[in-house]
Amino acid sequence: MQSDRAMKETDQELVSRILDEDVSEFETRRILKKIQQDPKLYSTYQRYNLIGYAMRKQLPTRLNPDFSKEVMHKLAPDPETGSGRTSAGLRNFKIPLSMSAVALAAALSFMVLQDYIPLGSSSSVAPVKIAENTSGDKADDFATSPKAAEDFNSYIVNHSEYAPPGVSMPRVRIVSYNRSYRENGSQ
Amino acid sequence: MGENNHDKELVKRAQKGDKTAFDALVIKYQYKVINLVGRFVHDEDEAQDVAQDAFIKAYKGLAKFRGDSAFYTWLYQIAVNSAKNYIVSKRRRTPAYTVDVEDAEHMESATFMKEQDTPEGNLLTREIESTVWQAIQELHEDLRTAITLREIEGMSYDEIASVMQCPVGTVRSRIFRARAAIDKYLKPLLY
Repeated sequence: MQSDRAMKETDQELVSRILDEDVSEFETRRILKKIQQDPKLYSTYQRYNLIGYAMRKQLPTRLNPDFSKEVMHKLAPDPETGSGRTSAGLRNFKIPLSMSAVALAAALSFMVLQDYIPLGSSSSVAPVKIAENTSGDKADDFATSPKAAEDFNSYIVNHSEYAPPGVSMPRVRIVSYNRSYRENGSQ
Repeated sequence: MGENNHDKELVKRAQKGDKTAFDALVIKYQYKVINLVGRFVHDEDEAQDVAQDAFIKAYKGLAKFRGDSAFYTWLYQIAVNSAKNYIVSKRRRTPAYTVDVEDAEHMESATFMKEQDTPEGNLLTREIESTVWQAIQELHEDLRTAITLREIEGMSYDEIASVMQCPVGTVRSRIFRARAAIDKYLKPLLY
């Protein structure tokens, strides 16, 4: 217990000395590691630093005790991109791009492959007779018909029960709505 | 280890990816940078944002910092540029006068922001300053002298030892004990 207190005092004294540039390279490494591991010691470092500014009356009018934490938070690597959080704008831009690519691929696949789907064939996922509702020979005719859009939505609803939650189906739904919006002027 | 050498060690470590080292530099210079930016950007919240932006730019540019100048000189140049760019981007009027980086170091702190004090805005700052000075008055004379020579006069440990006619180790101990005693009063107000 007593040795813990002594160690704590030693660390705090090192924190005091680091502010006064009175530490060796080795001590700097050591105390930085301790500050990183011990939030209390980190706060002590902040307050000891604050004391000097308060004595010299150099504190900003509006004090933000979390200033340094906020800076470091902004510099923290983003778990999604691996870059700093300041690149959020770029990250947000990438998501719609990837969604658009997936949506485009889904739309093309849908239009091209439907000609090769045998009518009335059973699907391993859900048995929906989309082809019966086609009104033209071309894939695009089918895709743009209001009835097909309605059936397609029904198809999506049926598949929602089997699809992984929140992954592929919403993207397909976007294609449907975009197509519907473009052709009919409404969703 | 001198001031510049100490900063260099922290910068060297930060350049290698040690964020705690950069954090130590942020803590050390945050108030200076905020005060400096405050001379250009008079809104306190905006000054804080610009100051944070300056630190972020400094971190991202650390690889380019070769240590030809002191770290704080380099940092202050970034802060001044950030403040000026902010003003231009906001299309506000230019500051009353430009502040040279070297001159800014010697100007009275927070001059401009203190002109715009509001009772709410500076309540914590005043409380902290008042608490710190009250605590200093209650210190033993040796501790009070040591911490004052260090923080107000900016003396090194060797210089303080010479003035107080005691070993450097005693100076270290007195300054630490003074800070620890003041900290007991300060802690309830902050973290």
